[in-house]
Amino acid sequence: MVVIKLAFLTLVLAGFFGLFVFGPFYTHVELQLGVLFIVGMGSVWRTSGRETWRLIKFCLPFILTLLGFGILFHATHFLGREDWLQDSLIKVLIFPSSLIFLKLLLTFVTYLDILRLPIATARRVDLITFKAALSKGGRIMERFKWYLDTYQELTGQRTRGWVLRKYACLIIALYLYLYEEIENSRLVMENRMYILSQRTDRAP
Amino acid sequence: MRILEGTYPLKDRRLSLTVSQNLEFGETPTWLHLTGVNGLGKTSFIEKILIPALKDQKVPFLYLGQDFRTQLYTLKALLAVSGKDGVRNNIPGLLSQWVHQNHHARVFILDEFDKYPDHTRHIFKISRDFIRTYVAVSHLDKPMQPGAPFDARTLEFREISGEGPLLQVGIEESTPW
Repeated sequence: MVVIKLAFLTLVLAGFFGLFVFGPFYTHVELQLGVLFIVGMGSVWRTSGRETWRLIKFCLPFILTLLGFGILFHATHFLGREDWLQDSLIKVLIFPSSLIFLKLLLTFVTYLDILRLPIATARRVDLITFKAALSKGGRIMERFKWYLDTYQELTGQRTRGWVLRKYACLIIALYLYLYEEIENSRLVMENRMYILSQRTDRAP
Repeated sequence: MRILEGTYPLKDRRLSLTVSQNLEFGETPTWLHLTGVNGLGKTSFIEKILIPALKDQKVPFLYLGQDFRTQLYTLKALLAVSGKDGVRNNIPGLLSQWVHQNHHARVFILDEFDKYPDHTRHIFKISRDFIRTYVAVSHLDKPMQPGAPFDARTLEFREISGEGPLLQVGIEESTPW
């Protein structure tokens, strides 16, 4: 059953990318806007408005840069092309909707699904640890950013170098956190599996 | 460091904090104890009112949060990026490096940090020469203080009313603890 479920989710994902990202509806701006809206609503329903907004905020720097270059290239008729604005608009819509859609689909994959997968136990442990780390990492990022904004070393100036330092700190902090969390989660899980195997061996 | 009297609605925390009089610190060495039962917004006051005010007034500060174990990852990262050997250091060593590179700070905020008494003593020892005001949240019967010459002052958080969508909390200075 779980294999069918995961196969179905993979098909839905492939269908989404096949139709809207690489497929026939790629150039339809109005449709892409609708897709973003529907995917956003789906995310609000499955997670929360706050989580959805957090994802959109995560995309904002990329989106704004893309839009900025689109407007600039369009105004200067860069490389003789007249479709810069249309092209940037499509990408600005597709990027967040793909990300939110992927996150949305992942919410349908539960720990129980992974446990029931017909794969080796070691691979199952890897998948569970990976899912736990992803989920914890997402939540902790905001708090890390908040703390970094209180450090005088990173808030003295708003130069590019300072911003890069802050993001370097964020990545290192996240790496250290995930490293320890993964190790801890793995230890807990291995311990539980060990106890379970001991009990199973003792059972009549 | 100045916090103006007035009401500060914090809708995302379902709180409305009312500061009953202007609060000014920094002239004399002060240890300011924030007190009150859980859930009345002491941490929210620090994170949503005090720290933004310090940033606006350009008062250099240091902050050790309630979830210090989480913050520690960012401190390790910060020291690593600053070229210090923060990742491998023990906690007192790491705190020393961080505090020493911030000797221009004048305010030190410690949110329930005295749950680590040794680290708190260490913090007072390495920072008392340049810090003018300590702000501390503590649930200990006898909160840890930096001692003389720091004057103890207390800011008390009291529930005024639980009616309406926001919990109304009054903040006022009480007689020194």
